[in-house]
Amino acid sequence: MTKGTGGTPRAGRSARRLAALLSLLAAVVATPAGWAATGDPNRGRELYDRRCAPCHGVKGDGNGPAAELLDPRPRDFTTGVFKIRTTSTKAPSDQDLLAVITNGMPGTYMPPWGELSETDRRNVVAYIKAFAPDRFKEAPTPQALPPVVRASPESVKRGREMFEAIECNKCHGTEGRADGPSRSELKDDWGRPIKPANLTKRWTFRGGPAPEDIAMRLATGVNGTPMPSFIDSVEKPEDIWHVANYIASLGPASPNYATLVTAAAVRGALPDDPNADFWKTIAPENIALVGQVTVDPRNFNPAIDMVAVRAAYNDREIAFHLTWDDATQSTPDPAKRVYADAVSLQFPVTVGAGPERPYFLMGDDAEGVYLLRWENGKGATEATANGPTKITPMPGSEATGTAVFRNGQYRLVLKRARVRKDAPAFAPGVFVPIAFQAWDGGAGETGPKMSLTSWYYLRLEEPQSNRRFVVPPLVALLTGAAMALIVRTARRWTENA
Amino acid sequence: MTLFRSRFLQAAAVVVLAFCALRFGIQPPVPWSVIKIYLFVVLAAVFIYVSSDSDSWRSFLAPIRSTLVDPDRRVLRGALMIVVPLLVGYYAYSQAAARPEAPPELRAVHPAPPASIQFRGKELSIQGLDNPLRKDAATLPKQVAAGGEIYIRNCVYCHGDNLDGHGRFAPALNPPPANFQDPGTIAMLQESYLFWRIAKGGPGLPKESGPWSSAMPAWEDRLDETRIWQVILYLYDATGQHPRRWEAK
Repeated sequence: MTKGTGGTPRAGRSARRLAALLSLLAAVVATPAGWAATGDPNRGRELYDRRCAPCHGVKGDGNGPAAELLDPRPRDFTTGVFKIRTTSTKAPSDQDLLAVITNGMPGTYMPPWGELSETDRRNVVAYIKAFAPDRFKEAPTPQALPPVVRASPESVKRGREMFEAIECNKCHGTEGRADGPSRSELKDDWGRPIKPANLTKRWTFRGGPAPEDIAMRLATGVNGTPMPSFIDSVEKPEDIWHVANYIASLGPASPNYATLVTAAAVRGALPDDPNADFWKTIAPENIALVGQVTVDPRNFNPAIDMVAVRAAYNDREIAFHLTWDDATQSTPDPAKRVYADAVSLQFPVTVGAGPERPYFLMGDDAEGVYLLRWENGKGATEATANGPTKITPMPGSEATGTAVFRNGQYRLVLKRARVRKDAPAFAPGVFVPIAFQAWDGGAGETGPKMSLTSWYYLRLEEPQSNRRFVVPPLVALLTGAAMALIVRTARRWTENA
Repeated sequence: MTLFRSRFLQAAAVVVLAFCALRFGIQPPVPWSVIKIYLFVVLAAVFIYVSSDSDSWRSFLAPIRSTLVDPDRRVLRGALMIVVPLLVGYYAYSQAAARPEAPPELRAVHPAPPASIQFRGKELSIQGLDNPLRKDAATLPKQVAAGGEIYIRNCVYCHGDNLDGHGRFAPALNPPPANFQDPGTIAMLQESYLFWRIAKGGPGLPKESGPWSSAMPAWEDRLDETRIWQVILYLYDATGQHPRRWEAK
């Protein structure tokens, strides 16, 4: 009963998703514009009570037993206000609601429900509409979009100008990292604080990452939030597409999370400046971070969900280049529940040959971990820990940390000697367990309230040998020679026969 | 049609068809290691078939021999002498230049449970233990509902609303959270096994299961005995699975 960390379940899932998408497409094609098919609210109710009520509440008021722990909060259906729609009227179409149920709301706790049959999902749509029947009296009118403009350098440039002209940056920030000056004043229709979208992380866009989705959100706005419709505020209607293309150019559609960080072998010095061109030559690995929910205080809604990691080493030193988004560079003020922003890299104290390692959550009493930390205002430190509340700083640390903060993003170079006696030594070719932790002090994260990962791997690549250039030609030559020999032998046999 | 009677072409066609069926005919895709084993079996069978009598064997060898010696096949021969070494050389390059991947973590997913555990200062026998809440069928729906509430407030972050292990926190966790829909998890385990896993979590695993990597908390710190049994009821109810029973003595 042993297994590796296989990829087949995920492949099955994506196949199922594809099947769900295809059946959805088929439904759209089969029913005129997909507006006609309606479900049965009475049948939807049973499924709703079982699957949706834990968050959205039996009464549909968004007050299910889990609601208080979730940010963003579950939708209150009794208001009939919905974020994602493709209509110019107030309410979404059945197809819009069906799409949200099918695809979920990325970046929130609303998961995709594609494994439920389409009939079931349509029945739930009908039941959800029944919570606010007045809102759905008017027949929905599709939102018209100007003819599609595909992405091009000119379109992206124009989109960038429009982005500032219609003041997207006021909330979403100059480079789209949700750090605009108005961000802290934003409230939703229910008076609760709401965060603007981080436009560099398209995979968290609630209505989908494609330029078509973005253009539709710009045209319709997002109901219940401060995001208005921009269809009338852009200079020309097609500017909607230019802005959408610009936003799509800010980041990838998928994060491609990694579990292995490879440190590049370097002959020269490792630059301390996080903006040095050197760091651009190394491809970053995106590491997913999640909330710490094992010990109190638990962090159900972590502020930092990803760190992009680069690493390099030479004969003397090892350096880590970390990039992560954080809306504010916080100065600690415990009275306001604001703490220092921080990150830490975690390693076993000694890198052994066996699979055994300390407990992933900063070790335990039996076996501790080594932490290479950086804190805003304090710089780099080193510590050992026997649990998240038992951290012992190491005296005489020589680690250095250089950070820059710009437009909602930290870039940090953490550096220390590669081989040490009192701390883990890093040797080429060895898989070293590594874990990450991060704190957004501005969001009240400190101590155990953090985001983290379980154990991943760091590997220092072996210095470039020329083996890969010598061996293949040799193999090719030998194969050629062997073939020539076979041909000669065959010819001789034929002649003899 | 002499072309179709050629044993060599027949053999090649069978191998190619077998490969296509294995590679594209099965969903979800089969791992390469399995395809390799099956292809080896197909190759062996084809070889036995073509060498079953001497006429067939000669017919199989004829095109190979003519390619090797016939003067009018000189161009094909020359082309093969260039293309094959280049392909082999490219394969050698791709092997030499490949970046290493994270080592596979072999761990016992369902290690043998202990005979008994210490639960909040009291000894609980795991062996032969059944869910006490199942005795009263009348209150069962209520208990399941209570379990659902515990699940949605505590477990959903990792194990997901669909109980499929695809919770919001799953991408950062290695090993991944258990998928309760999978017939290889709770459906093949007794309820007391689940009680042990929930109460003691990752830190309570034996060494062969890597207690240091699992992010499963030890829930005995947060949930009392009844609440753990309730959430177990919910896991089976929500997935439509049934717990394994103890063998009758």
